[in-house]
Amino acid sequence: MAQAVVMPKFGQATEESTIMKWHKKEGDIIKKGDVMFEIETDKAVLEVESFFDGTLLKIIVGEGETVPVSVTVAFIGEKGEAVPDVVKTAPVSAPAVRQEARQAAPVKAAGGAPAAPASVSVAAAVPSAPEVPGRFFISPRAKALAKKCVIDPLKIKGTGGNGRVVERDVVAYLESKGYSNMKISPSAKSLAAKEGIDILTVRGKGVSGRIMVQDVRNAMAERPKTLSKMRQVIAQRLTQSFTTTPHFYVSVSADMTDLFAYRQELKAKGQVYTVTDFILEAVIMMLEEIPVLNSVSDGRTIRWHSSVDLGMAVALDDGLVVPVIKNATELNMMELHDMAKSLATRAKEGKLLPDEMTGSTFTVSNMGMLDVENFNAIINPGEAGILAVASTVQKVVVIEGQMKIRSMMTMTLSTDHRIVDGATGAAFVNGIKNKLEDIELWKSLT
Amino acid sequence: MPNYLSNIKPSFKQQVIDCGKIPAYNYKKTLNSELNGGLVKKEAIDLLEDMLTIREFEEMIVKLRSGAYEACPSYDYRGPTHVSIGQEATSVGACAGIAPEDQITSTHRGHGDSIAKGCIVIRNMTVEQLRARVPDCKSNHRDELVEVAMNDHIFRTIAELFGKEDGYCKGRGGGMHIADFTVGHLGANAIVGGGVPIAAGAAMAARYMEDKKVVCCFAGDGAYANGVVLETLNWAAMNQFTNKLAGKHKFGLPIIFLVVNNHYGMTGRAQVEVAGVDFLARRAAGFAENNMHAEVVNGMNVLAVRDAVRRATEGCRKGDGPYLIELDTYRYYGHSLSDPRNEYRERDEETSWKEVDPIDVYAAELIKGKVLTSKQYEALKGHVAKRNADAAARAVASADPDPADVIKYMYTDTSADVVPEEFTKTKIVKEEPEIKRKDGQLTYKDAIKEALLEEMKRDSRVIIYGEDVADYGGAFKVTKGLLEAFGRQRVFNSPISEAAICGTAVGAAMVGLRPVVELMYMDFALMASDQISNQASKWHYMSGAKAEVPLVYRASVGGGKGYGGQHSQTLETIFTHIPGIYVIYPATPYDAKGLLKTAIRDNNPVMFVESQLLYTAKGNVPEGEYLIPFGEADVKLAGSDATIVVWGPAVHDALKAAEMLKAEKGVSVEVIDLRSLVPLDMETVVRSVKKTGRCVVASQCISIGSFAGEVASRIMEEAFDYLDTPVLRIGAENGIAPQSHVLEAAFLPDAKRIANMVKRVLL
Repeated sequence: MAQAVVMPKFGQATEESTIMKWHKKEGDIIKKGDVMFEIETDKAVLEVESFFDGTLLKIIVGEGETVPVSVTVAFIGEKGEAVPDVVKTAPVSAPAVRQEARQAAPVKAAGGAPAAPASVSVAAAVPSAPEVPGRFFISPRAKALAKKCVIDPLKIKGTGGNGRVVERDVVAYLESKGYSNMKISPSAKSLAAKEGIDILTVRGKGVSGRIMVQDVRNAMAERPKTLSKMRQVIAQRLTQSFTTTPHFYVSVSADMTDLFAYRQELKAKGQVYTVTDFILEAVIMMLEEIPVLNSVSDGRTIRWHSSVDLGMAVALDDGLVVPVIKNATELNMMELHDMAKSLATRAKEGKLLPDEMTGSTFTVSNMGMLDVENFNAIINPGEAGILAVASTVQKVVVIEGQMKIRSMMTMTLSTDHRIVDGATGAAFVNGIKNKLEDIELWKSLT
Repeated sequence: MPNYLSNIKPSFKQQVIDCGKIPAYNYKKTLNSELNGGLVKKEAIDLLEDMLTIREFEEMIVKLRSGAYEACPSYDYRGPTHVSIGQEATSVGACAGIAPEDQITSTHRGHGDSIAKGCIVIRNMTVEQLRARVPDCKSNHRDELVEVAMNDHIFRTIAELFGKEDGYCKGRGGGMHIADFTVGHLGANAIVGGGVPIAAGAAMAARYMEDKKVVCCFAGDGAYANGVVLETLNWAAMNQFTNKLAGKHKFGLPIIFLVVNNHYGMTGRAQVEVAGVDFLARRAAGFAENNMHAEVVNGMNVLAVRDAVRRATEGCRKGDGPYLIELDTYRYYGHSLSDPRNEYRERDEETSWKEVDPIDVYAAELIKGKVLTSKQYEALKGHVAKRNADAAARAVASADPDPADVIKYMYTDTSADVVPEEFTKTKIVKEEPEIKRKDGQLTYKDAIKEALLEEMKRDSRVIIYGEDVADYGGAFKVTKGLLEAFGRQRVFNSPISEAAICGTAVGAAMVGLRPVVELMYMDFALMASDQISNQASKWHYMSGAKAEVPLVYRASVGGGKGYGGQHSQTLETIFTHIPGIYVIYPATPYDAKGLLKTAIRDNNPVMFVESQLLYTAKGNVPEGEYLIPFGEADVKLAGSDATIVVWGPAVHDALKAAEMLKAEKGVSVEVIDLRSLVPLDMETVVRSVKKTGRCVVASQCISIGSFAGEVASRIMEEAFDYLDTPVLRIGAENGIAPQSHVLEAAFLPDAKRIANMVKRVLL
C-alpha cells in the first residue's frame, strides 16, 4: 500500500507551509533519510527527509504551493503501485479556510486512478481581490467586455440581480472614466491585457496622454507584490504589538571607553567577545534583578517567567529574525558568546529550527554596527520590553568638570507601560549602564 | 365512393355466433406427391441446403462464444445469441412458399429467415441481376454466379453480426435488426411484435399500389400477446378493405401472419402459462369472419410449411388476405446462450422434438426417395460448412466502421423533390374542398388542409389515415373534404389503434408510400411510442441507410381547452430526445403550410405538432407552392434588450409580452420562433443572444426535462461570454394539466408570466 508523505509540522505554531523545491521527481527511488523537498514555514526554509524507502509514486503538492500541515503532499510505494485518489487541498489564503482544509480528510477512497494534477498553477488561481468582501458577481457578458477593454471589473459596482456587475455597469463605469477618449497604443493594450494591468491605472506619457508600452511596463513595476512569509509575520506581529501595547521609552548613554579597552585586552589574550556579549550579559543580570521586565501582560493579568529566554534580533538581507538564548542565566560568558554566535550564524543561513525562534521573554536589538545615534524598538508580542542599542560614538563629555572624549553608547528601552513605570524603566536602563561601565565586574566574569 | 352514411338498424334476433373451425396438421402430402405435383428435385435439395446453411450458421455462433469455431477460433464475438436451431423448416418453408419478389419481416430470432429469404431470391435471380449483385465475379456461368452470390450473402450476414462495415446494415443493426431491402427483407425486429404493424403497412402499400406483392410476417408466440400485434390483426382484417367501402378495389391485405410457435416467449410458456388457448391460431377468429383462413401446421416439416404458405400466398394475391398460419415448431437452445433451459423444461421434451428434427427427417426422406444419396448429403453438408467458414473468415478480416461515423445515417438528406412520373397522375374523385381565403388570410387549420391538398395532388404516394379523418374530417375538421377529393383509397378512417396507426405508416413508408397519419391528441403518441421511437426513428440508421421512412405524424395538442391530464400535454420534448425523427411545431398558418409541405416531401420521419388553440388563428398564407426549410428559426420580432426563444402557441404570448414590455418599460424584446426543434437553428438563437445578452426560453411544455432546458444549455455552451444574466425558462407549471378552467389558466404560461420572466433577465 502506498505511503502518504505529509506536510510536516515543524514548529508548535506552524499551520501551513510552502513547498519551495522538490529534490526528487516522480519515479525516483527514495531511501529513508533522503531529502525529498524543501519547505518554507513562516519562519525558515527547511529540508524534509523521507521516513520511507521506495519509489516516489506521485507528487500531489507542487513547488510554490502552500498547504496546511498534515496534508498529503506525495505518495511513496512500490513502483507501479496505484495511489489513492486524493482530493487536492485548496491552497490556503485565509485562516478560516486553513482550518477547514485541515479538517477535511485529504484522502478519498483508495483504489481507482490517481487524480490528474490540476494543470493550472493553483497559486495563480487565488483571486487577488482583497478589497471585495465575499464573492464578487459579474455576468459573463460584462466580464468579457471588461476583459476586452482591459480594465479591472472588481472596481465596478454591480446593479444587476444579486449585486451582479452587468454590461450596463461596465458601460457606465467606462463612461465615467472617459474611456472612449483614452488613447492607447495597440501593443500597450495587448501587453496590459496579458499582464492583467488595469489600463485605467496606467498614466499615459505619450503624445497627448497616449498610453505607450513603456507606460504599461511602469505600471507593471508599480504593482504591489506579496510580502515574503517572513515579512508578513513581522508585519503582523509588530502591528499587533505596537497597536495593543502602550509603549514608553527611556534612554541612557553608557560610557563604553573602559569596556572597549578591556575587550581589547581580552582579545590580546585570545579571549574574543563581542560588544553584544557584554550588553546581553548586562541585560540578563538586570532581568534577574528587576523581573517585571521579564514578564508579560495582556492588560488584565501579568505572567512572570521563571527563566530568562533572551531574544536577540538578527538582521537578515530581507528581514530579521529573533533567535532565542534559552535559560540565559545558566550560561557563563563563554557559553553565552558561543550560543549567540551560533544562533546569529545559523539565522543568517536560514537554518534555525522553528523552536529556536519562539518563546523569548525579552529582546535586545543591537544596531551598533549600523551607525545610528539612537532608535526606538517595538516590543515583541509576549514580552515586557526591548532594548534598542545604538552605535557607540565618540563624544565630548564632562567628567568631574573636565571635558573628556569618551566612547558613548545610547540605549533605549521600550517597555509596556501597563506593567512598567518610569522609575522601574529608569532603574533598569541605568542598571545596565552601570554594569557596562563596571570593569571590575567584567574582570570577575571573564 | 367517397362518403358513406351508415344505416345500421337494431337487430336482436336470437342466434349463435359460429366461430368456424380451424384445421390443424392437415398436410397429407408426401415427398413423392410433392415431386409429382410440381416440386422439382433441385428445389427439394435446395430446401435441405438452406436448412443446413442456417443450422451450420447458428452452430457457428454457439461455437464462436466458446472459441470452438475453427475458421476463426480467437474471434471475440460480441452481440446477441438468439439462435433458432430447430426452427429451420419455418424459415425455409415460408420463404420458399412466397415468391422471390414478395417481402418478409422478421424477429430478433431471425437469422434463419434472413438467410433463407436471401438464398431463395439469389437462386431466382437472372444472370443480369446476379452480375449486379456480385460485380466482381466475372464468370458467365449462372451456377458459379449463384454460388458467389450465396457466399456474398452469408458473408454480409456474418459481417453484420460482427458489426462490420460490409454487413448488410453496415454494422449499425446487428443480427437483431438485419435487413436487406434488395431481397424484400424489411427487417428483423428486436422489439417483440414491433415488426408486425410494419408488415401490415407494407401489405397496405402493396394493396394500394396494386403490385401483387405479398408480405410474410414472421413473429413468435410471444408476440401474439402483444398489444400492437392484436391491433394489427384487427387492422389487417378491416372490412373497409373488402366491402363496398373499397369501391372497385375490394382487396384484402396481402399479408400472411406466420405465428412461429416455438412454445416459449423468452422462457414464458404460451401453451400452459401465459396464454389462454392451446392454439394461437384461434387469435384469427377474434378478428376476421373468415378466421383469416387460419390453420395450424407442423413447423418441423419444411414441405408442410411451404405448402401452407404457398396456398396463403396464392390467396393473398387474389385479394383474400390476410392469412394466419400457426407453425408448431421448437427452439432447441434457450432464449440466448446464457439461458440453460433446465429451469423451465425437461430434457426429455428436447429429445422428443429432436426426434422430429426438420433436417434429419427431411434428409432421410430425400435419401429414401432417391432424390439424394448419402454421399451427396455428406458432400452438401461439407459444402455448406465450408461456405460459411470462408464467409466467417472474410468477415473477421473485413473493416470495422470508422468511429468518426458513429452517428452517420441518423437522418437521410434526401427528399422527394421530384415525383416519379407514375405517381404524378392523381385524380380528384369528386371535388376538392374549398379553402376559404379572406384578404389573403387562412386559418391555421385551413393552411394545414391546403398543404395536404396540394401535396396529395402532387404525389399519389401521399395517403392519409387516422381516427375519424375520413367522412368526419377529423376531430378538428382539418382533413374535412379530403376523402371527397381523393377517395377512401387515400383517405381512410383507422380503428382506435394508435400503435397500429403509427406502425403501419412505417411499413408503408419503407416500401414507397408517403403516409401522413393523424394522432388526434398528442397524448396518444405515448400509446404508440415504440412505433414512433424504436421503429420510425431508428430504421434508417439501423439498416445502414438501406431504408428510408418518409412519413409524417400529425399530432394535435389539446392544452388550453380544459381537457385535463390525458388530452392536454405538450410532448414534443419527448421526441426531441429520440434521434432519427424530426420535430416541427408551427405557430402560424403561414409556417404550418410551408413546414407541412416540407415534412411530407422529406424522406425522414417527422413529428409534426399542431395546437388546437391555434386551429382558428388567422394569418397570411400565399396560394400555391412555397416550402419552409427545416432548421430555420424565424425572428418574429426584432429587438435589442432581451431575446425570447419560443415555439408553439407560446409564440403569440411572447409577442404580446414583448408589446407589454415595450409599453411598460420601453424595453425592446426580440422574439424568435424556433418552428423546427429538430433540426435546431442555434445560429439564429446565438446571433440574437450575442446581441441582447439576455434570454428567456418559452413554450407550453412543463419545464422539467423539457427541450427548453436543451436550448438554454446550448446557449450556455455557445454564447456564455455574451450573457448578462442566466438564461431562464418559462413553461407550464411542473405538473399535470388540470381540467378546471381557473387551474388551467394558472397552469399554462401567458403573456404576463412570460413578460415577468423577461423582467427577471432584465435585472
